[in-house]
Amino acid sequence: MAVGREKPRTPDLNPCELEAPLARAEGVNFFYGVGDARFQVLFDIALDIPPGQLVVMTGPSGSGKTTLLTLIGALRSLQQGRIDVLGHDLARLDPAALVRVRRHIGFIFQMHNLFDALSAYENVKMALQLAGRHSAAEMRARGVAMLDRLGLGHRIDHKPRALSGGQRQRVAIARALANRPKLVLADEPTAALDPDSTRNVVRLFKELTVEDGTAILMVTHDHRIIELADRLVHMVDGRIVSDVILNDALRICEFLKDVDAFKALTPNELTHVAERMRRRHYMPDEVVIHEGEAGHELFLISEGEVRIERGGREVARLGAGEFFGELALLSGNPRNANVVATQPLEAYVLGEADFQDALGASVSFREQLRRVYFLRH
Amino acid sequence: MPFQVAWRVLSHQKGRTALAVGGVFVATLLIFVELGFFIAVPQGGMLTYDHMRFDLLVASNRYVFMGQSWQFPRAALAAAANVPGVAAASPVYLGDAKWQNPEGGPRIDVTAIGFDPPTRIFAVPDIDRQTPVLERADTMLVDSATRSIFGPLTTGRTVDLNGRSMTIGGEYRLGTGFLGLGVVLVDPANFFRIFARRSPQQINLGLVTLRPGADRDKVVAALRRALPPDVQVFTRAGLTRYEIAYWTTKTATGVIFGSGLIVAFIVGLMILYQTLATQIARQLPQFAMLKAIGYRNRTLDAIVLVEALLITLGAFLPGLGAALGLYFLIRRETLLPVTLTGVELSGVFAAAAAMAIGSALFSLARLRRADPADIF
Repeated sequence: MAVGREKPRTPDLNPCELEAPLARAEGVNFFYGVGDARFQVLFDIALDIPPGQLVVMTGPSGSGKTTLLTLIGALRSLQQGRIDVLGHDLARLDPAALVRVRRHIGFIFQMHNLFDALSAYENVKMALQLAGRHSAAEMRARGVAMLDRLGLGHRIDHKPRALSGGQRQRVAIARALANRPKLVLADEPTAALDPDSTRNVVRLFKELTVEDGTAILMVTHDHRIIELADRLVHMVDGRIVSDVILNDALRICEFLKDVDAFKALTPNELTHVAERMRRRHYMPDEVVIHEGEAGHELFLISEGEVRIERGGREVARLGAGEFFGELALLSGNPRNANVVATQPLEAYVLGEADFQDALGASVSFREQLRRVYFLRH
Repeated sequence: MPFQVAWRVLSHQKGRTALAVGGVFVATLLIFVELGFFIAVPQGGMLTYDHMRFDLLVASNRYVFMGQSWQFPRAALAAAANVPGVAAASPVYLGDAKWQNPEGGPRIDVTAIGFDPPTRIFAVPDIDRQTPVLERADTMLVDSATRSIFGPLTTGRTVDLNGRSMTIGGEYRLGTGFLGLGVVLVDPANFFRIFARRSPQQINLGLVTLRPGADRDKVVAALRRALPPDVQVFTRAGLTRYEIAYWTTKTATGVIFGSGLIVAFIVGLMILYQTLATQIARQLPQFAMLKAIGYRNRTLDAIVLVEALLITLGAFLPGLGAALGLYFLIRRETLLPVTLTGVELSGVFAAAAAMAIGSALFSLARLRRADPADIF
């Protein structure tokens, strides 16, 4: 495990890359109590947390979010199902090994749990010492840098009693992040923070996901975080009821992977395309493409349906996962048909230049498009 | 790490820590004093013997301790004097007399030791010096450790012993040990004046000195052969063992100071345990957090153990100082050999360490309750 090592920078993190998830839950059931008092709090949970994702978990209280967090954090023994964390199958680890796995996870608790007797820096040092390979000076430098980053540079040697609630919470966050863990588990980390600190903390989280590829699984209802989340997992009554990708590039990736024409693209090429696509919405009966106009864009339907009209006559209907508009781009001729939304339509749009780039970059992509082209004409 | 955290936690809560240190200080001091007595009091039985010149002691088979020595025939001691290797065999007479001050007041028991001054059985210069005084009729020397209820011990004062008027001829200082509240020395002539009904043919102790170069063990064996069966022979070391065993096991002394020792230990243990348990209960979420982020149980255990050891050490040193002061006072007042020997020092230190470790172990059960799953 490479946690806490000198910042392993992977600057161009690839949202389409199928990297091994840092945490994965599969078929997880969990019960509290025994005998008649036994009740189930988690039902068949499956969740993948790949590197670089800020995953926000929401749901009413009692929906099992925290239980899931403690299971993934190796703080509770697994009952049914499988959880892999940082390459370890937790069910196979003895308690001592579980403790070692936990050292590579950054925990941010709802309660800051700082030691009254220790200064802000010393509290952070409690975590730094676990990494066990820093000199006192290095630890001090790291700890101070992290506290400074969280706006506590002037409070390093203060004890918790001399700090505000928000400052204490930020010390706790510094403690969790000081070792630059690959996986961060957080429970309402911004509950005690004022808006400025929250922005600062959220920026730091985001920075860690983008620069270090840190995966963050966070229970929060704070909209300032949800806005920046890559993914939103919603739990109700112990079940994951929705798992939505909020990050457009990620979303498009997920979508493109299932589109035949894009299947042959390498993850890099997919990322390249996905990052250049823009989401666009159309109302029912709105005309997406006018016959005879010059064509500059390729459309990919993510939701809804369109009908293709040539000479006032419907010739085809296309649905989610299908694309249109490639002909004019490939041939350079004007649009040869009207395309009209039949329902509220959400489409991903790729501009001409980016389209040509993608074509140039991938032989397979070109061939796929040609195949479709010949099928349609 | 455990040391730093333990130190900071203790120095953060100065009040609580001071309270704990104070409590353990008292417990440690108690252990010192009880142990001091436990060891010294039985030696009180040897107090007088320690200042007497002899190599072997001949006593009745019924001998219990110096104050309850029973009697045996003087002839037996005379026989002892003829055993090869024996240089001298001197009789000692012991008796309890009633002391009555001329001004009235209660009759108080006083122990009288009768001996022949030329035998010089006491290695006490003050006694040697006053031999002529002892030889005066109706005159006695008084141990200056004799309690004040006997009245002033002024030389020349006359008091009543068993109805006979006796003059205090002088003082010496030896300590009364377990012989009672007061001790007087007299020569045999005066002794039998006080104890008119006693026969000079019955003696209490026989002090045997050996010729230079004589083999002690052989002499002991020869004495045992030569002496009648109702008489026994002690070496100094054997006598010491006999007296200490008697005071430790056959009297309440061992029980009193031994149980005091145990109670003091338990008090210290409880104070420490209480302190640690409160400490752990207050910081349970912090300890749970440490477990959650990857600290092993043994690290947390170490924090608690170091806290216990620091408190104990903080209490032990002042406890030692106070004990030395108390020992000095006790020695001065009772003449008991209450001293700090290496054995005692290491004994009390071991007890203190056991207190620290024991209390830490007891409180670990509470530490185990810190469940990292509870803190989210």
